[in-house]
Amino acid sequence: MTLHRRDVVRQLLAERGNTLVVAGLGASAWDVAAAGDDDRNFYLWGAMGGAAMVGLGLALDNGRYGETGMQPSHTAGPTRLAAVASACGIDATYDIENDADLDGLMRALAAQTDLLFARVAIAPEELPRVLPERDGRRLKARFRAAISVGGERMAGG
Amino acid sequence: MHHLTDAPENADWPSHIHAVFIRAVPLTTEEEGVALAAGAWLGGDRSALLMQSSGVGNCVNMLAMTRTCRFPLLMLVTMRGEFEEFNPWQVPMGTSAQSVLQLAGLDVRRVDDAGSVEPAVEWAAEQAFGHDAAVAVLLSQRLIGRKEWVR
Repeated sequence: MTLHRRDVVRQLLAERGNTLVVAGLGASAWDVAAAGDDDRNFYLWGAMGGAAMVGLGLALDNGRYGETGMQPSHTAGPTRLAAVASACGIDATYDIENDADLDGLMRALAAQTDLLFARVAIAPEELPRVLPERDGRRLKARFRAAISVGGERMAGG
Repeated sequence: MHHLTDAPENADWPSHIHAVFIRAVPLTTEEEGVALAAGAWLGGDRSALLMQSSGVGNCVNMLAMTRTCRFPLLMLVTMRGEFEEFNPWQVPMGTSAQSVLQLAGLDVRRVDDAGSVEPAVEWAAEQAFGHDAAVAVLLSQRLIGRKEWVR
């Protein structure tokens, strides 16, 4: 059984609490936007490979390079992302394959205060784009305002 | 964000200043640092990105985010491929590092003498965090000298 990406993201964010979200460029950003816009969402429209460094945590895995034509990716072969994360020293890793696993991840997310990695197996499907705000400065400013870190400046003119 | 492992012993700062005031985050590749600096700023932290000139080329695409979102960025780059360089493989990136950074939209200041390092870095920090600028300070290979190889 394989999960559907939009459903997974909508479910994970249904009760988001204080969750801050950094979405990678392309389909990941459309998924997060489709679940409902929020000032605490930061969507990358570029900066490929940057999402995991700006934020940290969740990987939706369909074994494809979706933005360039759905060519098979390394995870369609032998690469197991949760094992990679574990080998990098992340203790809490999850391989999510079905709804029961997803429920477990929801509970783990609610209790987790440290770094967590979850890889969610999703169907390789092409969905209508849901485009969020694309003004980078506005995205940055509203995110910082939402977590109350905006406004501070060094002294001096 | 790298450790100050090569800080001179007679420097007038506490030897563990990086452990007290600064959290050092080792990177696997330099462009990760550009993204990490953006994430740190989103979360309300300031950061400095340290690398050697050979890492500048790795950052190019990620610097698009810095420019588009106007993230502050303070980059300190130790230069290779210039004064007394023994390794010809360091020369191409050392020669083009400044131009590459300027093409990516950074303000670049180059420092050739030790006395100018502090004011240059202070200026760069003020530009970055006071005015949301992306700034790189290039530290000349003259400051470091010839790399000694022990057989």
